[in-house]
Amino acid sequence: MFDLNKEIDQWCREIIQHGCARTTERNELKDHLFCLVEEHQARGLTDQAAFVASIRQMGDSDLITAEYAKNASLMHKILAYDRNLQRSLLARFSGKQLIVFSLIYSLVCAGLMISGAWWFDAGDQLVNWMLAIWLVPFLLVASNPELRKAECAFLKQLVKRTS
Amino acid sequence: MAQAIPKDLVAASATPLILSILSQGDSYGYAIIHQVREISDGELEWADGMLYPILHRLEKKDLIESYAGRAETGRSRKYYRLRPEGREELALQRKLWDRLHSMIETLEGETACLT
Repeated sequence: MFDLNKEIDQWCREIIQHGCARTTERNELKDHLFCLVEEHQARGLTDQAAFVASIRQMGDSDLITAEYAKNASLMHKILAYDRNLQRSLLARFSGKQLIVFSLIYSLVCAGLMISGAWWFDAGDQLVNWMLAIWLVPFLLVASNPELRKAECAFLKQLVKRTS
Repeated sequence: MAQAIPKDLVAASATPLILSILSQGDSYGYAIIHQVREISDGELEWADGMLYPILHRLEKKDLIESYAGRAETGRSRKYYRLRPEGREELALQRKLWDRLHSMIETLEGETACLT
């Protein structure tokens, strides 16, 4: 059955992808959509037909998303990039594969970081950069519920096998 | 049937139109779109969703400010009001549009004299 509230919420979430701190922006867009839907409902359209007509009236969703993204702060742009990266990675690889890649990546980065800091006496700045790069796969995994679940299951399995 | 205003002209006129509407009183997205549609007799076609990024940019520039309110239905609603800086910007934009208008008028007059 068509759930109008859910559909409106979903559409607004897809438009405003840059971060979870933008609830006011999302609510503003939702209010507009509800106004349009109510206008179409008053003309006799069903919930679903009113929703479809309202979405059309809102305009090209890719263009709107791009306009919203222009206003986003650097942090929100990074979060949006992270989310898009997750989507494209999940489309190509399984959760388990991604976790293995992330672990290998982390180990390589950690190795480079330690060797850079201790053996080559690298400056603090380089270590900080390496640390930031090292955190990338954790950020990728931690911010996706699907990957988080897969990671927990994978680590449990790993602990069982090694113990 | 009236001819629709080209997209680039629609984009260029968005800021002065929004500032003009807000100079008449506080408003919100849906009402702003409605007012634009009414005064232009439907000739100015704005995609509803494109209005908000423009409003947010104007807010970032401190030309307008927003505050939380409630619709009659009880839904939370974001209202916008014009700031003094916005009023100054509106006056400047009016001057620029008038200047453009008079330039076109002058050129049209010259063309009429030549023919």
